[in-house]
Amino acid sequence: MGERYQNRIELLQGTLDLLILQTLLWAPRHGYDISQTIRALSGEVLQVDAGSLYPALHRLEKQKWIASEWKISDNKQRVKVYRLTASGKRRLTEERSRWAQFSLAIAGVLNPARKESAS
Amino acid sequence: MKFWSFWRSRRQELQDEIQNHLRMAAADRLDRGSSAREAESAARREFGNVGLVMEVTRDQWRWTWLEDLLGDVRYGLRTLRRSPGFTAVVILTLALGIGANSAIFSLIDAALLSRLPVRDADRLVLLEWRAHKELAFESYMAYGECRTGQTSGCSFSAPFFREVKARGEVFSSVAAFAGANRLSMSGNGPASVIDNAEYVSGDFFETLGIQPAAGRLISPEDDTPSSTPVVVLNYDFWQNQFGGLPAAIGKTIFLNKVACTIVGVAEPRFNAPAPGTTIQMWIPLSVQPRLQLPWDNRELDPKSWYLTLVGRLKPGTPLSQAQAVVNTLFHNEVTSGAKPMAKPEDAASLALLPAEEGLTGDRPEIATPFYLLMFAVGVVLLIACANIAGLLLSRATTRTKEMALRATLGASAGRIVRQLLTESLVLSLAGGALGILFASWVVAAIMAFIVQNQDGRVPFIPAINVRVLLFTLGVSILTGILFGLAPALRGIRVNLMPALKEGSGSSAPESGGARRWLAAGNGLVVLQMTLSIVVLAGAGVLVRTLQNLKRVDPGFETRNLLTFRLDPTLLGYSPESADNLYRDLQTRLSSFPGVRSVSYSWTPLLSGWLWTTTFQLPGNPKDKGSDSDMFAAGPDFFQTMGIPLLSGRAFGPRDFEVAQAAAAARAAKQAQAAAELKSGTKSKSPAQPANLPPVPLIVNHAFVQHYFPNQNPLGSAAGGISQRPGEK
Repeated sequence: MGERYQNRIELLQGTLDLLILQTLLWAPRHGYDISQTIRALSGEVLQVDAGSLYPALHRLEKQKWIASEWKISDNKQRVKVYRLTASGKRRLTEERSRWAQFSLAIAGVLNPARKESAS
Repeated sequence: MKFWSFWRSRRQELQDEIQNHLRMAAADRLDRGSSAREAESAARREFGNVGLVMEVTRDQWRWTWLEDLLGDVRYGLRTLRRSPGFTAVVILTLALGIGANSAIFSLIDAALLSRLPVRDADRLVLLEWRAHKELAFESYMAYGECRTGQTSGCSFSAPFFREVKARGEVFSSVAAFAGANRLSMSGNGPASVIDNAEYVSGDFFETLGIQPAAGRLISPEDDTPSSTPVVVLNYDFWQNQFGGLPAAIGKTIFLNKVACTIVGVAEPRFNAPAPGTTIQMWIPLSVQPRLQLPWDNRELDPKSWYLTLVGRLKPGTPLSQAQAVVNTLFHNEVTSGAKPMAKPEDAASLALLPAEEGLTGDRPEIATPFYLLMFAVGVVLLIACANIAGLLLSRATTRTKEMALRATLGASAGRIVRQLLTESLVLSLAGGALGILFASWVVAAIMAFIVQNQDGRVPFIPAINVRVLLFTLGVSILTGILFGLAPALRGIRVNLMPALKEGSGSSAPESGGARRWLAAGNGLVVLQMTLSIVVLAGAGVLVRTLQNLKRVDPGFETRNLLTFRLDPTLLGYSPESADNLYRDLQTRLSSFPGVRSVSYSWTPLLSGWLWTTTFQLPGNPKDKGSDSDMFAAGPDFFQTMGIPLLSGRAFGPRDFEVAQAAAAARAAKQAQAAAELKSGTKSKSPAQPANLPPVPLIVNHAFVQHYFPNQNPLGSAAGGISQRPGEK
């Protein structure tokens, strides 16, 4: 079974929260929808494990960054839908800027030549 | 229950959410062309362990531990109910071990660990004297409040107490107290005997910082020769004898026929200045001469020491400074005067001890048997624990398959450990609860035994208190954790596959881990056997000793011997009339059919009570005295007790007349000394007994061997009193 998971990238600690909040920015979604969205947007590279997704959803809900309600879906099914709250939006902004800083820092480490040549 | 339905619905919602996820995932696969069965199993495979996901998610809610705990407890109870034999054995074993320990701990707590219940106990000091040689006392009385020996003690004379009060400016107050002889009490139902009363100075309660539970306490105004006699009751005594009624305050009772008014009750936690005793009532020192025969003149005599002194240090006064001041007073007291009590080289000095440390009471005497008991029950608890550990281990072995199954079904290691821990905690708490019940029976039994053998006096009142409860609880929980953890760790370390493949019952015996665990079980058995043998051997030795003690020849005939005790002085008999009463009783009892012989003595033999006397042997220098125990016996004593005389003769009627005359002469001399002390003048003619015949003595074999080796002691004289015939 190892083969099927080869292309996946282990999510960094904390990045899952950022991804979930981001997927909820434009529309409320249910759990399966969130995992499929992340998968599709990442070009099938990031696959969110259900064992990580649901604990994360419940944790974010407890911190009041997202809220949930039961709705009837298009195919007449009762589903639990999550949406972003106001404080969740603020949180997303913070997380995004943190991520930007983080990737810049990583890039700096990986490509040190540019800076050295400049000096 | 609202709480439960809330958790249930929340759980149900999570399940629905996950089922939706699976359904949608399967639907997607169907759309992409998979078969229905394939789609569903693929969706499940992708999702992973549903139970585990649910559990991890629920962990986010917090509070789940409570739900889990309740679940675990219920599950534990269910499993335990399925093996009632195992459960009963474990609970009973634990109850025995914990019960015995709690009982002994309660007793030790009450007898040895209790604190002095006074205000600012660290500022309260006890005065203790020390010297190289015994001081020249006229009389010395100690009441078991502190350690007392030949060359140290904590009794002082009344004049010294007044001196310390007047000039001991280092103390904010100083108090004195002394034990009382037995008193008769009437005026409250049938007459009864007060065994433990205490005479206290007027500022006793103030110095100790004791509050009244009702009424007021003794004040300095109560402690003058002219004040009306008052008493303060012990709280328990008030509850038991006066029903705890407020009406008891102001009531008049008669102590040795003297009217005394009850003015108050001391606070409940205060039983006595020293632990190990319960004082029933407190009486002002000044009332003492009115209640008891003034056998000496102790309020005035500087050589009659009987008062225990405690002082409260002034705030800011260091102990060393106070000690220096009081020591100077003491030194003057014992080395000055016409006949000083101590020579300078005796190095008589006074020390101040923290009262809590100095007032040991009966503590040292009861400590040893209690520590022995504590050791024994400690070992019993160890055996119980080893026993339970063995049982739990063997049970864990049979449950390996269950554990393996649970692990495969997605239970995390922590979850299994928690489950097993809960189970053993349930067990040990049940054992602990039963143990407390058991402990209260044991305490009651031991107290009944002590009361039976203690001459009517209960030295302390134990109760299963908070400290003991905490101790018991701690022991139960510790046992539960210790012996729940071992099998739990075994449960998660086990290799799943062989454990699952095994048939029902036995575990995977081929694994090295199992062998190690079996070895641990063997070790437990060895430990258990060793401890059991230690306890058994100890018990055997004790039983042997008791048997031997029973067979020891006490030196008198114990068969068909009846004894009883009476104290006619409590009813106002004078020593002379009491003597007549004894003789009268002797004659009348002797005339009963079946009575062979009747006699009386000062105390019963082997009661542990003896007087000690100092005497001089002829030919020895004047300051070289010898000590011996002394025992006052009535007519026909040796015949009645069946004590054989080795030589000489027993006491005859004439001997008792002689002794009575000598006693009268001694009383006259004391009265004269008292008068001299009061008037402060020295009488010209010392009242020497003129030509009184010597008082006869009978000595025992050991005495003769020690003082008259290879001589005939008959007819020799000792001290001022000469001795005459008779050797036991």
